[in-house]
Amino acid sequence: MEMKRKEFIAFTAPSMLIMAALMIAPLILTFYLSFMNFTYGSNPQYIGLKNYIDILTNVRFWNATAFTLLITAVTTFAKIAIGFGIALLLYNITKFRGIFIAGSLLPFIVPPVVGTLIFGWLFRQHWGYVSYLLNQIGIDISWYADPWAARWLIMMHVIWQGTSFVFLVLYAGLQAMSKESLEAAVVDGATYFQQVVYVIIPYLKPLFLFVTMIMVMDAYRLFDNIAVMTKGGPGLATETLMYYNYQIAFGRLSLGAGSAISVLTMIGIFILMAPFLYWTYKEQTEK
Amino acid sequence: MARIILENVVKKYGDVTAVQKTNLEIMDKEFLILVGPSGCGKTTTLRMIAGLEEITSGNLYIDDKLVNDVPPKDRDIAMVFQNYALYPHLNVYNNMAFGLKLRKTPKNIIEERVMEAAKMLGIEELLHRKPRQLSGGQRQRVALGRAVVREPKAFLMDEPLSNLDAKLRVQMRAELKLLHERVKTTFVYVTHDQIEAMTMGDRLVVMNHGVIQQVDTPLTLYNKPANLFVAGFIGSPAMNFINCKLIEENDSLILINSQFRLTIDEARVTPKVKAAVNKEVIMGIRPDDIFDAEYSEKIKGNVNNTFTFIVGVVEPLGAETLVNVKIENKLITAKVDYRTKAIHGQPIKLIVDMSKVHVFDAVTEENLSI
Amino acid sequence: MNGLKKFFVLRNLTVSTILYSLLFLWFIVSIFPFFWAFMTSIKHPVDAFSMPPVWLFEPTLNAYKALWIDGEFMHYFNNTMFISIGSVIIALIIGCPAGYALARYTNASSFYLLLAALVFRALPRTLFILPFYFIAQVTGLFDTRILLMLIMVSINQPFTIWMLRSFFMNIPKSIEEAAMIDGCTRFQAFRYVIVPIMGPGVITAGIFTFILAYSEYFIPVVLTATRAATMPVAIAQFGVDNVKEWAISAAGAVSIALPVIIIVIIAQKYIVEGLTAGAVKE
Repeated sequence: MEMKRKEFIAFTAPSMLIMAALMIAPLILTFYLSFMNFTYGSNPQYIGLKNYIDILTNVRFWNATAFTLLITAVTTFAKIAIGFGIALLLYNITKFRGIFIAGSLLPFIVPPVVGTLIFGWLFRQHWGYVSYLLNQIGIDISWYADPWAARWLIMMHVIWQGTSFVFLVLYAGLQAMSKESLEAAVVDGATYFQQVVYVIIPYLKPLFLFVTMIMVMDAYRLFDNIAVMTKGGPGLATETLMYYNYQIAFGRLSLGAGSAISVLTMIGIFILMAPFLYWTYKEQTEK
Repeated sequence: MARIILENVVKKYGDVTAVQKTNLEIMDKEFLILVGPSGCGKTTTLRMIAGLEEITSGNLYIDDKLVNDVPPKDRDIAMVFQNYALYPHLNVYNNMAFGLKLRKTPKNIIEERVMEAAKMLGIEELLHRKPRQLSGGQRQRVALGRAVVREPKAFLMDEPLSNLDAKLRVQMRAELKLLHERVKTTFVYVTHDQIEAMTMGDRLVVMNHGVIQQVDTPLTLYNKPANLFVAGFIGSPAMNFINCKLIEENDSLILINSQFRLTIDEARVTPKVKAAVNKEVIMGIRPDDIFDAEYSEKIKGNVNNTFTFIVGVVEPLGAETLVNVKIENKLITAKVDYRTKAIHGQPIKLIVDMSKVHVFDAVTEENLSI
Repeated sequence: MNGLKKFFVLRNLTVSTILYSLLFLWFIVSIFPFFWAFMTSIKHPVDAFSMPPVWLFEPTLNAYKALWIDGEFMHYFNNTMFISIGSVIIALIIGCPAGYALARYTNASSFYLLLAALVFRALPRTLFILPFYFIAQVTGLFDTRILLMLIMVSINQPFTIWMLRSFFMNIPKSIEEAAMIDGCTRFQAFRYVIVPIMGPGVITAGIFTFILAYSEYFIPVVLTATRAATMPVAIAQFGVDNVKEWAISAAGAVSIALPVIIIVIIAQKYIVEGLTAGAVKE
């Protein structure tokens, strides 16, 4: 029986109300504030687009954007490649699946702060185990003091943390795939590589899209690991947009400017998401 | 008087009409079956009676009261779903008692009614089990029990036997007929299986593409189908249809095409048939009414009702054999005596019982010979 | 012929070994930091700092004692639990009817709401939180657990509803229809027939909502000082620099991770299903 409009409204009302009050209302307020000169403690004054102009002409903003985009591109690609590889591997394995999945879930499920800390300790100059191992083979990298090393450190952590999500989703997709398509390919004489490229990847295309979109969204908004591991350093080398936002809004208490950065970040995310949404829409309507 | 009346009822989903203007009167206590192919609108019609679908236009009366805007729970009807829809978290007893509990029926009356229904359906042993512990047939009975307990004005059933295996289905058909006798309540039943419909219904409503084709007793539908669709839908194996021309010769009406000529029996000539002389028509004849000339004791063959064709496929059924012949690129089936010597590729002489032949208008598909 | 057979068996063995090795490698990579942190947390500081690492040592629970008994970690633990459990309860109470309604209402608005849910998930947290910084101060709600709880509920609702909706879609409509014919209103049908059977879906949604609230760092770090601070905030203060209290930090990390690890072990099935439910449409 079709749900009536009245019933629908009644059932969704409490949820919608809370979201409107605690999420949508502040959202609108932030937009509004982005056009204000508002430092916490004083009164806000309308200044039009000045915040936006200041930020868009600030090198620091563009550095943060560049680094954020770098992280997004590199880690998303790595997570998908490694995650897909693991999914394929696990698909061919019969033993120890449960334990493996439980173990590889840990980096993803555990609070990012914790994951960041314990990952970061391993790379500490004098008492990090990984640093020690690298030293043993003659490699001496100052992960926290060297700007590029620090950037790679952050990216490695993101990959470590997020790959299991990709792997799980693709693995679930693989299990839902009918074995017949693969068998038909084998009968036709396809090598393993050809099977992957011509049967598995096309089948998983919607999942790839979905997962990539989520990964891009999340990477663009990275905060926890920066704040805990490098605090944007050394200098500003590992400052992402969110961390930059945090510094301006709560470090300097320039809430107006901070709001503007948030809005700009949001626009950035939408620009990145647009192609994915378009592709997903195309996939859906083609069905 | 728990009769159900549909008056000009229409159901539309956006621009698509699922049920066209429908007028139907369902008598109190009758076993009425809505039958037709998938998508014909039978389930939609049933759901409109139940109140699970909104009526786009028209009026629905249950027990002579207008119920268009009355919610299902107030229509005093009970429904049995194709997938039984039992409440998974309740045992059989509570599944059956659910409706009564909601209406605040006193406990002793609930117990009385549930036990009575359980006995009627043979499920007393199962009262403490949960649905997942039951077989398909048992779940079916619980679903029926849940409906019986409500003592409704009408039972609505949406293909309740479709999910059962063939043997169980045949058994349940008989049980449903018995149940109908016992509870003496209106049954409105939906199925796509015409054999099921023919064996169980008092009257059948044959539907196609949202339109009621004919409402009649099984026998009438079989012998006097109103149009091509009903003629082809009812009866198994299906009626044969052959395109030909109707001509008049010496006061007899003859069906003629490139491969045969057959004379229609006097008894089958109606005014409508006469009016179709010199027009293209469709001849309809059931496989049961075509005989192998060598083994036809019942009917005498003569030049007016015999034709000879090359045999296509031969399918022995045991007591009878189905012989297929090709006439003008169509396969015609004849159900003949099992002793037939029909062989693929060889000619066979067949006698057609021209007193059972139907003549359909080639354009309107109306049956002209009833 | 025999030689050829051997070759294939060997080849399969080699391939198998490689597969298992690669997976094992990833497994180690995933687990190792946790293992290391645990080791550190039960070592005496002198052992904790030595490189090359000491594998045989005398374990001690000093770090945990310092953290939980002497320190204020208990306070943060209580806050985190209060906020997480509280937000799960509220989120489910308001989320289940909403998820159910979205599963059943086939209008266009349903689709748009889902799209909105996705969009909200994509937005940076600062967009929502920034105004709260001064609103909270002004209304005296700054540094309170209630505020954090409510904000968590709100921010995670899109995700919660989305997940609950996909579980409700799996319940056949005919069950509610049967109930409504038997005499229920829509809400009674929901209460008496749907709620009792939505167990697994609710558990999964509950686990995820809990983990999201439990792990949140950005929101508490902005909106709390000391009274309502959660464990992620507390442990972040130890940071990566605090060498002296390293064993204590490790103990903190392990302590925070432990409940989640236990959930993963017990409820792995639910977590996997939850992560993949929305994605894999069948």
